[in-house]
Amino acid sequence: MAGTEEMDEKAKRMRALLSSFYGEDAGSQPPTPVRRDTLQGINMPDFDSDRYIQSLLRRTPLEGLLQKHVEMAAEIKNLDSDMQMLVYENYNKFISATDTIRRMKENVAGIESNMDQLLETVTAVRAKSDGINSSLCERRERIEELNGTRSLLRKIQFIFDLPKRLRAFLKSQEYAKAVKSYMGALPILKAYGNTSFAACREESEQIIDTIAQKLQAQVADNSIALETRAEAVKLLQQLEYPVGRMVESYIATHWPRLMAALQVVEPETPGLVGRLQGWLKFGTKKLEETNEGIDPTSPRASMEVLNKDFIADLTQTAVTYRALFPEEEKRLTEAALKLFNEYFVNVQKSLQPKTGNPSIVELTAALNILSQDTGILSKLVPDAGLPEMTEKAVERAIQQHVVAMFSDLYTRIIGSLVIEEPTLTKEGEEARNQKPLRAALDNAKRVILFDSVELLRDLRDLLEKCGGLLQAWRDSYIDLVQAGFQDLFTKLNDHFIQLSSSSQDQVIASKSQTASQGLVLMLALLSVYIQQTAVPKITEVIGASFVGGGAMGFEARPAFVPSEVCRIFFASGEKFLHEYIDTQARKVSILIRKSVETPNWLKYKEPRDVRMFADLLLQEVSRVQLEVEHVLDQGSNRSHRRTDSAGSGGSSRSNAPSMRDSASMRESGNHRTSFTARARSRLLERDVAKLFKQKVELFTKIEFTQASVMSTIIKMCLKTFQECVRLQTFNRSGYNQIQVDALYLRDNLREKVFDNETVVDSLLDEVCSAAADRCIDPVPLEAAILDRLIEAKKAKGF
Amino acid sequence: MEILKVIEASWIRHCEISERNAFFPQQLKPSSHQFARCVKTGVTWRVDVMQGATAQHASAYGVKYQARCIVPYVLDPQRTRFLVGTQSLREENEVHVITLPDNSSDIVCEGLYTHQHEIWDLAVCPFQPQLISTVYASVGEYGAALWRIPDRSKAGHLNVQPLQNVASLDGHTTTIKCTLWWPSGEHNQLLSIDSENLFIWDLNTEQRAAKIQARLSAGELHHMTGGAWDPHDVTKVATAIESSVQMWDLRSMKQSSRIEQAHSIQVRDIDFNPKRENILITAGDDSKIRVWDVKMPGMPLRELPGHSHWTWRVRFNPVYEELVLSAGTDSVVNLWHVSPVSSSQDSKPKSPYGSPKGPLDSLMRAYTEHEDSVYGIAWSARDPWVFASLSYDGRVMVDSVPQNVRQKIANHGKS
Repeated sequence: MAGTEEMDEKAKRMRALLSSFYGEDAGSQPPTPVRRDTLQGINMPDFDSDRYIQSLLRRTPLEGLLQKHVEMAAEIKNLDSDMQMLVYENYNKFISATDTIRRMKENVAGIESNMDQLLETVTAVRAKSDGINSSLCERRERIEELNGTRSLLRKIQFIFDLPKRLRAFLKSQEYAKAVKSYMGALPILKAYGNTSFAACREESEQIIDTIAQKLQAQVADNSIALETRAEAVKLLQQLEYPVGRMVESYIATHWPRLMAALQVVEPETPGLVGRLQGWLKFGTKKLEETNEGIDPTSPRASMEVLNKDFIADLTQTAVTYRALFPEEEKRLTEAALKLFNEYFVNVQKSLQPKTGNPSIVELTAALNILSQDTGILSKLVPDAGLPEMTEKAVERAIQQHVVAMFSDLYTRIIGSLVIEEPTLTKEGEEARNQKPLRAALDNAKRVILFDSVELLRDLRDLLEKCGGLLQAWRDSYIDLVQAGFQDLFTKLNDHFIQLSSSSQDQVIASKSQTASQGLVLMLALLSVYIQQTAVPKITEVIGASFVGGGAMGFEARPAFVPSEVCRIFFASGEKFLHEYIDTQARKVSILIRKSVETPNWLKYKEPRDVRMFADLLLQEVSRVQLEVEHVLDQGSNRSHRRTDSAGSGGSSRSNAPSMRDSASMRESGNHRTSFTARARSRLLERDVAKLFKQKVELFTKIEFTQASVMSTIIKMCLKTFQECVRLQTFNRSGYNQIQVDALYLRDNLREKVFDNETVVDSLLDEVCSAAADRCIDPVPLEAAILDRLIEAKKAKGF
Repeated sequence: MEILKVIEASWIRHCEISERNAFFPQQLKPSSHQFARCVKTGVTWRVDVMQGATAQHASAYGVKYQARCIVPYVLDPQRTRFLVGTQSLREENEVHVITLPDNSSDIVCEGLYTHQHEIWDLAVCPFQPQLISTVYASVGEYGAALWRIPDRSKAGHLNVQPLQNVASLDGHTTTIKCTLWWPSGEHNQLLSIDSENLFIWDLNTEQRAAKIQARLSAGELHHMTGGAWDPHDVTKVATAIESSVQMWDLRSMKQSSRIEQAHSIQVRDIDFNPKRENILITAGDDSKIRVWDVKMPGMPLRELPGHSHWTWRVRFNPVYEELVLSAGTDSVVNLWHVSPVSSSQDSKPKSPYGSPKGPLDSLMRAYTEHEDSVYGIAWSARDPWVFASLSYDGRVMVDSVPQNVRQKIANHGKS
């Protein structure tokens, strides 16, 4: 055990020595600083052996030194043996190397000869191979030549066989193979076709022509499967058959049919019924079935009719086309465009049927169908710009529709402006109850408001339902609607004015008709109604559902200006009312004027009765009142005509002077002798009374009330009466006659002017006093006689 | 006195002026001097109507009786004078010469002349202002006569003198409506119109005689109510025949053109434009005022709304043709601005029913001081801005054109 351990120890040491000998790394390995006086640092370069000895000697006892001595002796021995071993081993290695070198020298000597032998052999082999090669070469060339000839022969054979083969293919309908073989032979036929293979070429071309024709037939044949046809087209294309012409012919065969589908018998029988008949004639029984129960004149129906056939047909045609001619997209677009133009013409027509206006539901439905269909179509032919066309068509259709609706409304309103003449056969009482004016007015009002609102609702529905279609020009649509109203009202106003002026003319031409008279009043009221009710209402509806607009820009004024319309109608209303009053007053005035101007007042006989004109006047006034009663409000009873501060005292005050007047006049009549003096004092008295009397303001602002209208008319007439009387000169009887007439009128007119009775009184007083002024002998009639005459008249009248 | 005047001014709005105004409530009794004038000649009032910053003076004057006629009177060019003729059936009538002195705004009565019968029309000889013509009626009998206003110097200031009769225009068989003097320059011809005929008189003032020179008949069934003599062409006369205006050619003695339906019912007054030929203005019972070109009788050039009742009189201003004065039976005097229309360059076709009223035609001012129908208006012969109006109750108001209107017209004239 100890021996092996020792051997290990030795080996280790040996290795350390060797390594220190061969490399420096051993020295740097233990850099640990050690004390110089210990044995550990013995390997260090600065190990001071003397110092070590001294310290050893100093510190270690003898025993220890002895021991150390022994140790050292042993160590030295060890080192010595190690040295011996090293030397030995190196020597051993050197010897073995020398041995190897020697052996190598011995082996190299035999190689040279072997190499020479190998070279010789190789040369021999090469020579032999060359010999064989040269001998075979000749034969190979010949074989190759033969081979070429053979393939050529085979080709020629193929070409000669081509017609036959083609014929066979033709017979078996394997056109694809036929075309392939023909195409294979084509270069040769092209190159030598004129010389050696003329006959062959001719024949095969003939056959190919036949095939081509067959193929064309195939292409044109709808019954064959689409793939086959597409293949046929491809084959034809390979045969360099002009595809364009094929496309043309395809289009030429299909388009007329499509066109016909669109145009069926249109020119001769316009309108949808005609078209429908055309469809039926066209022989589609299916249509006949489907169209039963649908109103043939509605745009939806006609759209459906239009679509069912045309779109299906077109779709199929286009699909086929695309399958057949995938490269010829452009041509399809072009042709389709032509169709679509026609299509939209028809769509336009069916959206705007000549017979009446389509209802909004129908139109919406039709438009939706249209948008669906055009969606399909535009998917079918994406390049044709269909959406734009559709949009344009829809826009145009709706625009026309809106315009048509407005003009329809206008016509309806105008149509409503007719007063039905009460049938003359009936008795007066019944006619009184008929109130034709009221009915006409209500009717017109209803037409104006409800129809307008309904129209707006319809248009709003249209906007909502076709929102998608309208999106792009929603604003201009709203503008269109608003402008429509503006236009409607302006036109209406113009029409009103025209109507009133024409009725005015009738009056001037003294062909006055009650209807045309009432018409002016009705127009006045309608104007007020439009201004006060209809326009605000419509504005409200517009505001609710037609917000926006202003496509013309912010600076431009809105298309519908309610305030302007109101202003126009306000002015017109006033004007018509004035006109009405003027006309009525004029009619009565003519009566009065004639009654005053005709008699010779200076030679007038004593009054016996109230004159005829008074009855006529009352009759006329009653007629007007009847008319006015039907349509106007009663009006307030406030006596706005008086500037009187004493209130109710006014009426008694204004009555008083006239009573006093006549009393004093009567008195003076009884004492003719003192006439002049009395007359003077009487005049004075009357004038003083007049001073205190409230002045009746004759001409006040006219209001839309019965009271105002009636009193204005009556005031105008009585004023005319007064003016006419002032132009005459009366004798006593004439004056008395005027008195009688005035009294009779007073009793009867008072009740007609219910807002201010004193107006009648004071005006008739004025008439009487004017007559008195113009009388050469102004002696009033005695009250008793007056009363008797009036009583007699009343008794006669009723 | 000043206080009294103020009270008077406010009082005047409420009471009528005439003889009856002499009767005052005790507390408002005027001074004895004024009262005397009231009784003798009528009353002079002064009303200051404030308008804007400038005071417009309206002067009032009252005649004793009812009156219809007022005409400008040119005795000497220094003063604004008017002649007023009364119309009282039973009393002796008067012709007042009134003047508005420059230094005051009180109307002064310069002369008072009696005229037996009620005066329906009054005209002053343009070249001999002392000479006047009246159309009168006596108990329904109409007549016309020429009068000379007696020289004032021979009598006291306010003494009443009768008019001196120069000649009677006898020969009318129907109601005489008006007399027309030769419109320009001195001439011895005079026109008178009755309801059926037009008389041309040859006047000889020296011999105090008038001879019928010619007679034009309108036909029996026509009723002429008045007329006007064209100042531009003395051969032309316009007469109102019911609802139409008839033009007469005095050379050929025939009717020429005719404006049918100039007004519905009745044409009341006609006046020729003093500055432009062939333009005339009419007023009628349909209360409208219309401007016509005689050459185009179909359609009026202008239409003004006129008055609330009949429009009785309408007069062009003699200097400023744009100014038109109108009076009506609604007791209002209206001052209009009518943009001038020449007969040649005008008349774009008007809409058949639209009123042909131009944008420049407008009511400049309404004078509402009168309380009875106004039958007479007259522009002053001296001052073109002054005019007088006469209502049936005998009140004369002398007013002037508002300052702003004057400026407007002056500006218009410049540009």
